[in-house]
Amino acid sequence: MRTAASARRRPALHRLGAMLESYSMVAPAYMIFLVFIFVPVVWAFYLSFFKYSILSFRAPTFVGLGNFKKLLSDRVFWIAVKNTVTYTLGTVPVRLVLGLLLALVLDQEHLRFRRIFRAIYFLPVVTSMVAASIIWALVFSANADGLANQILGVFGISPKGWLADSRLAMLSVCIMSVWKDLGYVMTIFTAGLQGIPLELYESAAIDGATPWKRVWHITIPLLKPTTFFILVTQLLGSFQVFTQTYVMTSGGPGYSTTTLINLLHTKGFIQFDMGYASALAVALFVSLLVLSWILRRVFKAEEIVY
Amino acid sequence: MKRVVFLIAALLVLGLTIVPAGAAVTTITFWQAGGDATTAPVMRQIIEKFEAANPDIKVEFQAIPWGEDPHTKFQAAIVGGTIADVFTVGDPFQHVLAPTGAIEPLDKYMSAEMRADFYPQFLERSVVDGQVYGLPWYGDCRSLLYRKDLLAEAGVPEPTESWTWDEFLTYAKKLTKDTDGDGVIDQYGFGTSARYASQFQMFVRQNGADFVDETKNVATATDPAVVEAMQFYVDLTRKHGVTPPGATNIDLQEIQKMFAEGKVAMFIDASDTAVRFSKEPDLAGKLGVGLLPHNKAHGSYAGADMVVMSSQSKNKEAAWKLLSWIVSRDAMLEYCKACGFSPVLKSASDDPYVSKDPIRSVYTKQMEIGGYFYFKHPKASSITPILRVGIQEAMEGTKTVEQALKDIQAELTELLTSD
Repeated sequence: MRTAASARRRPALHRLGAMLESYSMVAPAYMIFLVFIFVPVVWAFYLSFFKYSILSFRAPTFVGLGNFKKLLSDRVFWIAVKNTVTYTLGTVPVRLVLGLLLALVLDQEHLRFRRIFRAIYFLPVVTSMVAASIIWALVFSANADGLANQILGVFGISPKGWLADSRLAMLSVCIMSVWKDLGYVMTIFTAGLQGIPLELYESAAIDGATPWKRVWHITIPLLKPTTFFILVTQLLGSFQVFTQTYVMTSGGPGYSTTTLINLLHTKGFIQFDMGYASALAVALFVSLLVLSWILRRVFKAEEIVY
Repeated sequence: MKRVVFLIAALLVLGLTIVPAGAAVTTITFWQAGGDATTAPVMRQIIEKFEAANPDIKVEFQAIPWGEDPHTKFQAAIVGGTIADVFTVGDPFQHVLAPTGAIEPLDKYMSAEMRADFYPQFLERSVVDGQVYGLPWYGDCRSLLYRKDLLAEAGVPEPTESWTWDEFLTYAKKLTKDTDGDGVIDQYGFGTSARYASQFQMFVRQNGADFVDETKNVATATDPAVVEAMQFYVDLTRKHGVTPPGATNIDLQEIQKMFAEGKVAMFIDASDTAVRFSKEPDLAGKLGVGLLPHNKAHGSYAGADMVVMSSQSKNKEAAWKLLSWIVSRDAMLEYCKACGFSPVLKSASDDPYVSKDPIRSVYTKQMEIGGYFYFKHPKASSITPILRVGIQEAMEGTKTVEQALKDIQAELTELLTSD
């Protein structure tokens, strides 16, 4: 059967030209991806099986799984794993709950200035992480006149060491990080809310459902795809936390805020052990892959039908 | 036809600009690690004078701030074969580059007078396997910065010579007090932070010891003198409470701020900070600079920047002319005056900047009696976090000083014996 398209088939040369044209259009994006992301990722996989110091200017030596064995027996690696998981548990659920609450509150049409509020909550997201970290290091000053200590003072609580206290340093970093990304989570939830058909609420209202029941039985279930998206991106992001801890605490005191990427940075770019740093990156990559897959399975259990 | 004529004309014009007027001009490149908005204009002036004196050489200068990680950029450029003819590095990076053959030994270019004019401890810092691989062009160490007004108020004499540890502790206690009578301490004797290994290593050196014996390549962190020094340092916070809150991990900038506000009476810092403070109107007449305290020895953490020549350079003669110009007396003084550092040439000592300046003379004296450099070891950057973490744990009290040093000893031993 001759289709309409094949009837109007262009000459071969012309088709080639069109093809070249299309490829040349996508080429810049793909070249950037290839050169700056794909090749380095493959290279990191390759390097993880080698001992390679970028200082020695010598060719990498093959060590098999040596870097991975070293990794698993490295005390500091497990501390970094624990710290990264603590950070994730201390930020992602908090952002999810607060972000949803904010989105719901600011979705109330009768609320005045809600656009301004949204903008205010979103402001930290567009602020540079380094700048924000420097400011928050001042907020969490160990001095009695630091902002955090002043607030505690209002409640009659004595000043704390915050970033200089290994029991509070990670908490301080979590508080700052929740503040920084809350607006992003809120915005995505807001977009999700807009996708829920209003008729559902109307009919529920007619059936006598209270506002709370409407949120619980309509909004939250229908936000599932949005929640999944936020959860995955937030988890991936929080496992790669670096800037805050690097700027605010240098990973200290002790190892109390040394995260996986802090350790990777120290190994790779301070101690120049690129093979070991690559092995760490590969371990992180694989764990995140498994984690995302599990999340997908959990969330895919039931499809949503409007 | 018109277009062709135009094209030919354009090419001719272009061609003319490419052909150099003098034909014999050599262009060399010069990269400065750590150059920034304050220092780059000074460096540029020095280079302009060099070019005026050497019309056959043109210098392409580039300053790379410390924040942009110049050393990593240099490595990449060396591997890629695009490194500058002459470049500066922060100590001890010359020790990293020299064994790889990336930089040129300079002995054959140096005259005997030139060699003799450098303060030996600075020049020796660039000697690898008996050869000089870089020339120091300024140096610095740490001294004690103190608030004259707060010392006078507490009846503490100014440190005209180096205090003993006992004196230092007694005075630090006197200077720690509740100034407004609300029951809360708001002025501290001594500001320090264990985030920086140099801050506590100086006390170890002042006790005549160190964490590592570099000549034997062994860890010496459990040496009784190290234990005693670290106990003294940790006690400043835990037992005597003379350090402000957060001494475990605060940023040095915060200590500087507290000092400027009169909440910290003494702290240890480099001369560029002292020079900066001396120009601060709010601190006029209040800033004092003195020698660091000592116990069995003197110890002041020193640093230097080195000018090195690439072994890949195609114009080594011109490169050497520039290199020797930068470390010459006048250029060195010009740079040091603008940036607050110390010249490293003996012939510069008669300049009023060195001899008359009250700040500079203290730093010069301090360097002479106790200046020491950080480990030369190729794994020096791995030693630092081990020390920092251990001492911070002792500061927080999660470990005793002895235990922390035992753990440091074990980790350092593993580091030094692994390949």
